Order: sequence, then structure tokens, then C-alpha cells
Amino acid sequence: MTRNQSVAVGANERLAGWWRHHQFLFAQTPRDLIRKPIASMLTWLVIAIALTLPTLFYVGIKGLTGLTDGWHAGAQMSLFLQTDVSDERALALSEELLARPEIASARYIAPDQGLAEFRQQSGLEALLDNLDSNPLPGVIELTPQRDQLDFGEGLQMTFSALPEVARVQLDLAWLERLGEMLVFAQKLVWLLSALLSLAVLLVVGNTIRMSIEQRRDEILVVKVVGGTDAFVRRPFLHMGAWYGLIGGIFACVMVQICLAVLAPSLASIAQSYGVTLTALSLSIGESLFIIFASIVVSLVGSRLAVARHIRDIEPS
Amino acid sequence: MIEFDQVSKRYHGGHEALKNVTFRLDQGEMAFVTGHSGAGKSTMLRLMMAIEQPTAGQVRVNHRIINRMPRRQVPFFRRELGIVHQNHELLPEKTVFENIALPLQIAGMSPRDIDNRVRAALDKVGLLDKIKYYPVMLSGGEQQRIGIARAVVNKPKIILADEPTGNLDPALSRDIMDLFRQFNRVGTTVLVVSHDLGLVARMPYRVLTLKQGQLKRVPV
Ligand SMILES: Nc1ncnc2c1ncn2[C@@H]1O[C@H](COP(=O)(O)OP(=O)(O)OP(=O)(O)O)[C@@H](O)[C@H]1O
Ligand SMILES: [Mg+2]
Repeated sequence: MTRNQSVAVGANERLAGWWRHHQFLFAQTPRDLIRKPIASMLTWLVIAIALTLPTLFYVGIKGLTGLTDGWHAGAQMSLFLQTDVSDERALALSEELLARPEIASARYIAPDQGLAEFRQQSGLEALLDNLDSNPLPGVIELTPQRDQLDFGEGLQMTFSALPEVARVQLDLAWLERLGEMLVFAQKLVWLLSALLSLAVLLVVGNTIRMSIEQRRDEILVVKVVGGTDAFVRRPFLHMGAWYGLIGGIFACVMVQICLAVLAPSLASIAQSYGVTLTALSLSIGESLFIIFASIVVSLVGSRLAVARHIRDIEPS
Repeated sequence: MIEFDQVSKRYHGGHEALKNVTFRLDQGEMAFVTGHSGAGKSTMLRLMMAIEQPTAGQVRVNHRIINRMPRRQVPFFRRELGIVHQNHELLPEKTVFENIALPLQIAGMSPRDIDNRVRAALDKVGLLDKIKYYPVMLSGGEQQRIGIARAVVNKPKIILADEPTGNLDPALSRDIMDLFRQFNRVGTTVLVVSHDLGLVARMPYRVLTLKQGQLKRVPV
């Protein structure tokens, strides 16, 4: 065989050999991992815990974001009317307001009705009975259209200018503060995810490094009989991918368990505020993303470890 | 097939393990290397395997010049060699089959071809019935023969053996040498490092003797 032929045969054969080695490792690597159950399990658990933390945070924020959206849609604006506005005029005004595109509903609460409602809710009947006259003004309660985004200060100004209106109260300030806190929390989640991904990368890198040390003799033999660096690296990359895959799956399971534990108490807290919590779970897509990210990060960790350590192992 | 041209090797630390060594081994030839401990025998083989680089002179093996061979090419160069060590260097966690299959796996051969080749190699060293064993379950001589099977399974053009009989009794040593002679008879170039002067003297092959890193006698 001449040199040229051997090179020509080489191209196809090399690809086939590359694929055969991967096939071999698909079967072999799980066996290697199971042969050291405690070490493997520890690595998986560390990865899982590191990924569970930011994921739980993320799910929590997702739930709260849903909440603020819901409240924003259900937010109210109360127009306190001048005391000399008659019920008829007030009803007419609420009709006019309802005609505006931003407004979904308008409800006029006459002073008597307001007093009755207040009496019922406050539990201050005795005190109220002592009043000679009704101190409450008429109120028009407005709710915005679902897709109305700037149901806020602009409208507040407009309505304040109406001659019948004494004062406009918009209960959104606290909501905005919650929104700001959520933005902050989201940033925190990203930071936490980045830090803990780095932790996963380091843990996997270190595990792979130890595994390289343990298989030093094997690496030497492989190199003496003509194994390329790529060939030597491959088992460790497969191993890293498995750490990421199983660790990621563990993380998803852990997240679901934590949510199952937390859900009842969260639901009752939410209920006491009169809202229902939605989306306090990890979707299939999100789970797949976590597993995928776990694999990628672990692969990067393994790749760095092998790049650092395999070159140094040379027969002598 | 193997050519040393005024080769010197100085290790880090200043020790000169080989001094101006020149010799040539033709294709299909078989020869021995002997010499006292520390004479530079292993160094000579390490140069041929591209494990070490010469500090002076040129080493040429299988039509390739070892000096400054790019790192990428070294593995492919080594695949054409069959290397046998004194301490066999079998992997204890792998079976006999897996140990011998390693060079073929590295070469990317299909599982079926690997199976055939491993069986053929085991058959040649007479240990086909041990195919599923682990190395610890074998005697020293058997382990050495498995090491030889691994060295020849890839049908190398050159076999390099560093004291392959170092730990074996005389009868086993003779068996191992006979194995090498068989491979040589079918055209493989064979170079064997051996301490065993008696054994070497009884066989009709060229002997390269090293002393303090210098080649003592070079019959051309
Ligand atoms: N990696 C190294 N670094 C420095 N010196 C070395 C190295 N390897 C070998 N030497 C020195 O080079 C000399 C030759 O060593 P080599 O291993 O080639 O001897 P040898 O002929 O194989 O001996 P033995 O029969 O004991 O195996 C020795 O003096 C040894 O100390
Ligand atoms: Mg030696």
C-alpha cells in the first residue's frame, strides 16, 4: 500500500472510527459511572442542589410576576366626588367614563351605600351610629381594560380636572414597588444562576480531573499504542455529559419536590390576600432547558479539565 | 527500517545516556540490544517510539524522521509499531479481550473486525481460552504473552520489546523469544532489548551492545 492510498482510506475510516468510539462510549460510560456509585451519586447531587436553588427562585418570581400582572389588570381608581354632586349627576358621569376606551367598568357608590359597606367591613357600627350625618362623599370606582397599560398617572390627572371630582386615588404605588423588587429579584436569579453554574462547572471539572488522575496508567498505555489526544479526551467528555444529564434530571425532580412541599402553604398565604397563585411549577420546556444547560455547563467543565490535564500525561 | 545517525541523547540534568550512536536495521531484520544497567538501552527504544527526542543526530523509523515530528503525527506513527514492555502494562480493570482490542479500537476498527483480529492474535500466543479473563487471573508468562498479543494485533511493521523476558524463567523466556522469531519470519522487523546474554548468544541474530551510552560492536 502506498502512502497516498493509506491517506485516502484514512478520511472515511477515520470518521467511521470516530463514530464507533462514540458508540462504544455510549454503552461503556454509564457502566463506568455505575461501577463507582457513591462518587457518581455525590457529583449528581451536588450538581442538582446547585441547579435547584436558582430554579426555585425563578419559579417563585414567575409566580409573583403573574400576580402583579393580575392585580394590575384588576387595579382600581377611585374618584371621590365633591359633596354637592347629586346622585343623578354622578351616575351620568360614570356612564360618560365607561364610554372611554381605557375603562372596563365604572361603579358609582352613593354616600349612603358607601356608609353601609363601610359599616359592614369595618366592624365600627357603634361608632358610626353616633354620627349625625354621613361624612362620606360619593365615589366612582373604575377598573381598566385588561390590556390597558398606562392606567395610571395620566388618567389620574385627567380625572382630577373634572369639576365633579374632588380627589383621585390610584392604588398602584405599592404595585410599582413590588414590580421594582421583582426586577431586582430577577437580576438576582440571573446572578445566582451564573454563580451556581460556575460551581457546577468547577465541580464537574474537578471530578473529571480526579478521574483523569485515576486513569493515568490507562491514558499512558493508550498514548503508547497510538491514541490521539482526542481519543483520550473522549471518554471524559462523555462522562461529563452524563454528569450534566443526570444532575440536571435530579435538579428537576428536586425542584418539583420542593414545590410540592411549599405549594400548600404558599397557596394559603396567597388566598389570605385574595389571589390565586398560578404557574408555581416547572414546565416541560423549562425542565428540558435546565437539563440542557446542565449538560452544556458540565461539558465545558470537562473540556477545560481535559485540556488542562491530558496533555501533561505523556509516556516516558 | 530503523536508522540511527550519530545520535546522542542528553537528559535534563546533564546525563548523556547515548553518545554518537549509529546503526541500521533493515526491513525484516531481527536484532538484540544488550548492555549493562543504565547503558542506554531503554533510551534507545524511547527514541524509536518518539517518546524522547534526540539532542543530536537523526533517528529514522519506518521511513519517518523522529526529530521534530509534529505532535499531531506521533499517535499515527506509533500505530505502526508494536511495543512490548517488561512490566507488560496490561490494564487491570479490562479483560484480556479489551486489553488486546485497545490498539484496534484506537484505529477505529469495526467491532466485528476487532473480534476477529483479537482472536487471531490470542491464538498466535496460544491463549485463546483466556479471552474473558482479567490480567490478575493470569501467570507472569501468560500476562507477557497477552502483552505481545496486544503489540502485534495491529499487524505492526516493527516490533520493539524492552526486556520482554525480564521476569520469566528460562523455559518461558525461550517461548517468548520463539514468538518473536515467528513474527520475524513473516517479515516483521524485530528489535529486542535483553539482559539475558546466554539466551541472546544461542540465537542467530545480530547483537548491538551498549556500554555507557556507546555502541560497542557494530557488525555491518
Ligand atoms: N527521564 C530521565 N531523566 C534523566 N535521566 C534519565 C532518564 N531516563 C534515563 N535516564 C538515565 O539515562 C541512563 C540510561 O538509562 P536507560 O533507562 O536507557 O538505561 P537501560 O540501559 O535501559 O538500563 P536498565 O537495563 O537498567 O533498564 C541512566 O543512567 C539513567 O539514569
Ligand atoms: Mg531499561
